[in-house]
Amino acid sequence: MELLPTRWLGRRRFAARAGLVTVSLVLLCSGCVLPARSSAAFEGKAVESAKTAAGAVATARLCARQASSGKLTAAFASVTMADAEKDANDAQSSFDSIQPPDHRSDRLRDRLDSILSKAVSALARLRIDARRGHLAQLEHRARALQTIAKRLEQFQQAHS
Amino acid sequence: MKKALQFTLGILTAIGGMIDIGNLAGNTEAGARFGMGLAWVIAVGLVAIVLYANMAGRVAAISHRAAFDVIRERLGPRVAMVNLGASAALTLLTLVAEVAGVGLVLQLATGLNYRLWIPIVALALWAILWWSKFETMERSYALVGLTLLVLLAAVWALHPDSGDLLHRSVHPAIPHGEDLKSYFYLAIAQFGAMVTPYQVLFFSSGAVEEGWTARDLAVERVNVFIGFPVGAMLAMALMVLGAVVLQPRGITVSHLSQVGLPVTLALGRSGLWLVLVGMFAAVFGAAAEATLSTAYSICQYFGWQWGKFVRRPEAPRFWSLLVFLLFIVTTVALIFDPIKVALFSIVFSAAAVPLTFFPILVVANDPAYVGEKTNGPVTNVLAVILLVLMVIVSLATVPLLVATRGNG
Amino acid sequence: MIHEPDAVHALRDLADWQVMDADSHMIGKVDDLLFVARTDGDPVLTSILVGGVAYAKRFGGAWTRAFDFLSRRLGEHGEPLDLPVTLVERRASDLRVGAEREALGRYRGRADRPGELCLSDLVGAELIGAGDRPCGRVADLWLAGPAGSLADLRLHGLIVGGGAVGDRLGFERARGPVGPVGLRGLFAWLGRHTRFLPWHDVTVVEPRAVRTHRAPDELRPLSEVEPG
Repeated sequence: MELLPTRWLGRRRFAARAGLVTVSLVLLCSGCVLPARSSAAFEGKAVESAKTAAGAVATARLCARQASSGKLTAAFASVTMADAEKDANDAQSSFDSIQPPDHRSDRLRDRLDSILSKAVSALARLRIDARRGHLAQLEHRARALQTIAKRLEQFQQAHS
Repeated sequence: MKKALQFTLGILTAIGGMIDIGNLAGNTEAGARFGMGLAWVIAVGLVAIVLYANMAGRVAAISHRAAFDVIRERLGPRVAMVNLGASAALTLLTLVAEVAGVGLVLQLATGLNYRLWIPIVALALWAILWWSKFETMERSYALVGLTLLVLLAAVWALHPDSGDLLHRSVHPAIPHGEDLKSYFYLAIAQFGAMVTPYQVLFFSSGAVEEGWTARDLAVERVNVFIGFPVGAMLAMALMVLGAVVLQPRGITVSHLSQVGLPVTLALGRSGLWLVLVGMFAAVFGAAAEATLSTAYSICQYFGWQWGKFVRRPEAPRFWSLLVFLLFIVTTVALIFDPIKVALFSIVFSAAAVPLTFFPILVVANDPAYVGEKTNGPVTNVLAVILLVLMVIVSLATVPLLVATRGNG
Repeated sequence: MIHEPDAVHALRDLADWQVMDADSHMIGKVDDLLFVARTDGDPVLTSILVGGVAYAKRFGGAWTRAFDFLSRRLGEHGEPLDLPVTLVERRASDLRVGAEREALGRYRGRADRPGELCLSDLVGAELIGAGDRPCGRVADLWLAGPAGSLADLRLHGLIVGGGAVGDRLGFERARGPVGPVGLRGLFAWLGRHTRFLPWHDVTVVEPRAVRTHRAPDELRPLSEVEPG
């Protein structure tokens, strides 16, 4: 019983089904990482991770400055710092889980990994301070992030 | 006097009711990644939602029939079932984001993890749906949601270069580090954030809940033609805040805190509280609307009694559905990242819009439903152009989703 | 909100309509229409089926069996309401049953009557003409009878042809949608091959097929038959 030509109905159903399946897959796999097959692809992923980490660092710096000038509550600041730390951490772990395809990529990996580790530990420090309510000194602590931010920026520029 | 109050309330409801987690995350993200380059999509989306809601409201007021009732009647059970399936799935996805989103707002206010809040939010939603009158519920969220006008205050307080902003809106450019496919993906998302099917379906069912008649059409028109544009200004404000505060710093939106930081930067502590209250009301209200909207659609499709306008024992399936939906949503909300879900849901909103827009367009032209108040020629021309645009958007969605690996 | 007295298309103007009870409560949607064949004229509409397995039948094939299975689990609610047409009044935008919801229990469950035809069997069936030549699929049923009264509606003919989408949407109705012009034109073009077959030309009704002694090119286009 066809009220519409079958191809119309089929296409809509297909689109709806495909959409739902894709959503579920992408939602589930957004944490999954595919291996990089070439050193260029690896470099691309490195830049992505650096970018994500840079965003987290920038968020933390913005938050720290505002928290120190009393614009934020301790709750807001601590949630923001924890989120930033999580983002940087996730960026590092997903980057670390990628198999580097060659020796050049090994060196790249080591370089980025050291920057990312510094970022994560600095962000963790800030998160701890924020949770303790030590908002006034956050800006001071966040100075360490300035160098890290610069290094991430340089890394991205060098490898884009 | 009473009429003036009705008008005012209507406008305020429309303003406060437009923003939900999809806007909060999606509009800000677009500003953070593309500056003002996607501002034009908000304008197009506004035209679409105004037309869409106006038609649906008119049909409901004159024929006393709500959207899915009419959709099944015109499209038949099979095509309407595809429609219903897509709409319901999409609205549930949105609902997951909204419920978790309320949790996120409460987390920002208290520091307690959002997952702990989710079951509480679901229970509170249930309690309000069960006990409060329809009108009271609608009006309260919307009025409290007006605190989101703080977004406009924040934009003003930051004194951005408006000439520059305008220039960047009119001359969209792809910034370094982004590409064309992400641009179009986010464009689709902006459209979906403005034209959310569940809001229109809710608006249409709400018209029947509140017993609107042809005499209420003036109120309906004012709601839609004044309220929605002001609501769109709030969406634009979110984009500006993203463009002015987040983009220069390379911050993209993956957490709700990043949506709040521009406001606190501009307005300090008071800004913080206002934006938290506003976000809470907007997202909680959206959650209530989305829950009701799904239950309405399913009942209307099958012809089962629905609505708060009848005594509860007379609509047993409607109420059972509400419980069931809240239960599923609570479970799923505990699992997935709310901001990611929010961003997906607006993309799929955009893709699903033509399914419900098309039958409503036909019916709004049909004297059997709307008497003499059929669409004027301008409305029809605009609507057909939009329909074609919407179909193109639908077809482009899944390929773009795959091409950008869901990251936009 | 007036419907053409002498051109009621079953799917367009009756099927999937909201059914309300005497207290204005929603009962369900019109899921199927039952006609009883007569020797002296067109089949007459006798009952309206609401809900249950009648809904499932609209989907055809495997869906019907799946829903059937499910609805048996649902027990009583798997059975459709079999409402005699004398009980139902056709109003501007819904059908009203002259009894309250609670009193409708006795109409639950279908009884097979001999010589019965139903909408869900006819629509979608292949129309086969003289010499076994296919004429297209049945898209809708043309019912004739006075306005407002369901009891006198007769199955006057079949509307045949796959492009009848526009008709279903209401564009072909005399006082149907007047726009948008673009869509109306599109659907008119899509429905240009829609044909009409009067019931008296039907010879046999088989499962999923209807036979006529006429040849495909003898069928008149719907536009010639439709009043206005």
